[in-house]
Formats: sequence, C-alpha cells, structure tokens
Amino acid sequence: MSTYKVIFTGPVGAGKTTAIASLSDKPPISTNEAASDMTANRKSETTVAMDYGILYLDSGDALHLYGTPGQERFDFMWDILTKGGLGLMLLLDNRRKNPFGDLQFYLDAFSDFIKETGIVIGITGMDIKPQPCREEYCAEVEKHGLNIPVLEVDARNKSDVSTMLEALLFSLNPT
Amino acid sequence: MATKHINIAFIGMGKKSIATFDFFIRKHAEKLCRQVNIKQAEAFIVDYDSSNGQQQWQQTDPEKKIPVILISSQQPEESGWLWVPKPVKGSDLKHAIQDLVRIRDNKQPTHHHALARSQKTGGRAEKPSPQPQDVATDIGKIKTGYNRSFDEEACAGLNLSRDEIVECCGKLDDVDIHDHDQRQSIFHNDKKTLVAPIQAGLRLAKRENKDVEIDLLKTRIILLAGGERIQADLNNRVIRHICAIPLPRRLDTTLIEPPTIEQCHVHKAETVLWQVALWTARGRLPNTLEPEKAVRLMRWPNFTRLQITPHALRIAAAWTQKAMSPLQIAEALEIPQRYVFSVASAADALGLFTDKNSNQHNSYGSWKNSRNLFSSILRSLRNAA
Repeated sequence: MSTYKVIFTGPVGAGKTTAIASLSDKPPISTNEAASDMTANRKSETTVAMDYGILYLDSGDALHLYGTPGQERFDFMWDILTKGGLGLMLLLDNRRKNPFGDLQFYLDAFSDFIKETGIVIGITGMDIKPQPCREEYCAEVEKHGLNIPVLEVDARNKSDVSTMLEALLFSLNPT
Repeated sequence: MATKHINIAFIGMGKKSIATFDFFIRKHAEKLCRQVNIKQAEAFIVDYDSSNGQQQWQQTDPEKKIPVILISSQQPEESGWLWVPKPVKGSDLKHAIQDLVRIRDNKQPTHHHALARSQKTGGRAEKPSPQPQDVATDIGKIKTGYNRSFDEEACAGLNLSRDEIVECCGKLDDVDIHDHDQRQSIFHNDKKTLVAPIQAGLRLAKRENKDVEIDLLKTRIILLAGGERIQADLNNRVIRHICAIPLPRRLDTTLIEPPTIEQCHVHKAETVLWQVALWTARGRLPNTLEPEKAVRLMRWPNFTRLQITPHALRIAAAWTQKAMSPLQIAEALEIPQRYVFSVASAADALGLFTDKNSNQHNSYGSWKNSRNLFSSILRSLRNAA
C-alpha cells in the first residue's frame, strides 16, 4: 500500500483543523493545547504539533492529511511535515488584520516546497468580512509570479475543501 | 384530391397561448387543421415547457398513440416526436402540422423537425440518421477516442443531474472544424443572449451605484448597486428558457429605486453571469471566440462559488498554465469539445481570458505522470460527497 500526503497550512484560526475534519475518513487526530498567548483571543485551543486525518483511496492506497501548527514558533515542524508531500493547501483567514502579510509569510516560508510541488489557496471568513476580495488576493499572488487556484472556502463545507483539493491535483496534472 | 384537415387539441397551454395558436391556424393553416377539444383530437400540440404539459399529455394519451408536436425551448430528452423549437416560427409550425397530416394518412413526413421523421403509425417518429451539426449524442459518445470511463468519472460527483449537465453543456458531438456547416454549429451570438444585458447592467449598476432591473416579463433580474451582487431566482425555469433562445431584441436595463431584497436569491454577480453563460452556450462558443486561437486564463475561476461542469477544473488548470486554443485544450485533455466550449463561454463572460502567454513562473509546469493516483483520490472525494 502506497501512502501520499497533502499539507494544510495557514495562520491560527484559518480553519486547517476543520478542513481536515471535513475530508478525513476517520475522526482526525489533533494535538491541541489550551492557548495561553496571543492566540488565545482567536481560539481557545491551538494546534501545537499537527493535525492528522486520512482519506482512503479505492486503489487501497491512502492520502494522509497533515495540518501544520498555526503558530510561527513551531515552524521547525514544517520541514518534517512537508517532506514527500504532494502539495500545499494554504488557508487564509480574511478576518485577520493583515491577510496579505499572512499570504506573503506562507509563500516565503514554503517557497521551496511550492516550487517542487503545487499550492492552492483557500480564503476563509469572507462571509463575515468580504474585504479584501478574492480578486485582490489573486493580484497579490500574481506579484509572486504565480497563477494558482485562489478560492473562497468555508472549511466546514466538505464540498469546498474537496474542490480545493481537486484544484490542487489538477494544477499538478491536468491531463 | 384535397387533403382532409386534421383535428388538433392544445395541451399544457393557457387561454392566451391557445388563442394565439388558434389565430395562427385560422390565418395560415386553415386548410390543414382545426382546433377541437381533447376528446375529438386526432393530434396534439403540447407545450413541453409548461409544468402541466407533460403531465396532461401523459394522462390524456398514456400509450402515446396519438401524433404529437412538442413545442419547447430545448430539445426534449424524449426522442421520436415532432419537435418545434421555441421561439416558434410560423413556417416550422406549418411544416410540422403538414407532417401530422401525413402521419395520419400513413405517409412519410416530408419535413425535418430536428428530432424526427415520423413513422407510419402512431405518430411516433423514428430516430433520424446522425447529422453532425444538430444531432444529439449521449454524454461520452464522441468521435475522438477519449477515455469514456474518465468522462463518466468527471460527471459523477458533480452537483448536477444528467439533464442539468445537458442544460449547461449541450449534447453537441465534436465537430470537424474545417467543415463550414459543422463549424457554424459551434457558435452562438452572444450579443443576442441574456449575457450581454447582464454585463451591460452590471457596468451601469457600478457606474451609477444604483440598482438596475432586467425585466424578463415572468420574472426579473436585479443587479444591485455597485455591480457586485445580483438578485435572481436561478431555480426559475423562465431564466433558463430565456438563456436557451436567441433574443429577438436587446433586453432593456433600467435604473430602479432600491427594491425589497430577497436575500435567498442574492448571489455574487460572477455566480449568476457564469451560470447564465453556461445555459446560453450549451456547449458552444460565443462568436467572439475563435476555436483555433490560443488564449489563456488570467486567473482561476472561483470554483467553490461557481457551477462546476464536467472537466471544468482540469480545463482551468490547463488553461492557466499556458495559452492554448479551445480545440487544443480538448485534444490535450482528450475530452469532448462541448465541455471546453462551455467553460470557455463562461470564462469569457467573466472576462477571464487574455491572448498573452504567461511569463509567470509555473512551479509545477511539467505535468507529472500521476493520473492513476489522482483519479483514485478524485473518486474517493466524489464517492464520499
């Protein structure tokens, strides 16, 4: 049996844990801790090490879904998590103060991984805070020389997260 | 010997429609037919679009023995009956009635009505021999040797019924682009469709920052001030029907005072425009897009908020990576042309195409040989949906 993995990343509260739960065939495993620092005002628990879910394929293989911790101080985990990954699902929270700063941060932090694989961006929280709009994200992404899927996403909605993953896969290989 | 007229009854029509048809008959087909009540009828004319038309026809003639002309904006799934497309042209209707008479008299009909040539008995028509430009084929049955099972996969898991896929992507077979007639069959005139007034109305709503109304008689579309949102009942079949027919005139866009907003029918403007473009195109290209001309998608469509048609994500992925013509995309992905033309029409309506090739860095430009794995993942995602 072969195993493959996709990485979910993004700032704290962007919906990584929820998105993995939406797709996973088994209840996802989270290593959440009570938030005690600046993240506490965004959510009561935060992912310290990683989230993990699994999607069983009809071929007998499995696709592992890993979520990176949302706090920058755990970025040492990111290299470990991304090794052998098919691509990156970047979730950005539109309600945050500087979502374009977040975008810049993650594109830089994962630049090597993105070059070797692929990335899709999901913007969450647009129903609550519609600005900046999706087109502005696209323009920001283009500044990085990328033409990649940028989609509005509700992480609780399985269809949205599935579409994100499909967009990632077809970006890697449309044929 | 003069032909005896045929007694016809109308099914699924209101008083006004019946009066209109009756007027036509008196004026142009008086020697051919007469309007009678259902019990006396030798043939029916059924409004196949009306909600009770199909039902009443079924109740009146459950065995479908009586010759029928179906009138509808879209080609009925049910094959084998005389069909007159809406908007009804007098000449089409007259020819169809002449064929009804011939069917009654056990003669071969002489006119084509897109669907059928009639049989000798019962008015049921035999299937026509394939005509490249207008004959329907089932999904997956095309000339180029694309992978049928993959096509079925592409249709599975979509939030669309088979009929809805046809409403969005049509049934056109792949065409030989060098054949003049076949080539003409893949185009629609986008200036004579609902897409154009919506685009114009959105510009007006943005420029004037006021609500704009497009009156469709039985329903209306309101483009909300700012041009970002549209109030429209996309489940209303009137809109679909209007998309499916060429408009006799340009619809007016009118500035209006703020209406009572029905939030349940408020959508992002791009969602409505994309959907209307799909219904309009039905697997064809707007005549402003050349099938051989290389273009590129400047941006990915927002597929989580747009109707996804078969292969749409693959098409977008290929089209964002490099400039290709619609025909090249169909060939490269080994998919029916109609699916590419559908996405092309919708993307064009949103202004997503450029003819400039990308100078952007595509980090994963080399398409990897991973189809089996990806197909497996997609099946898992869609089966679980």
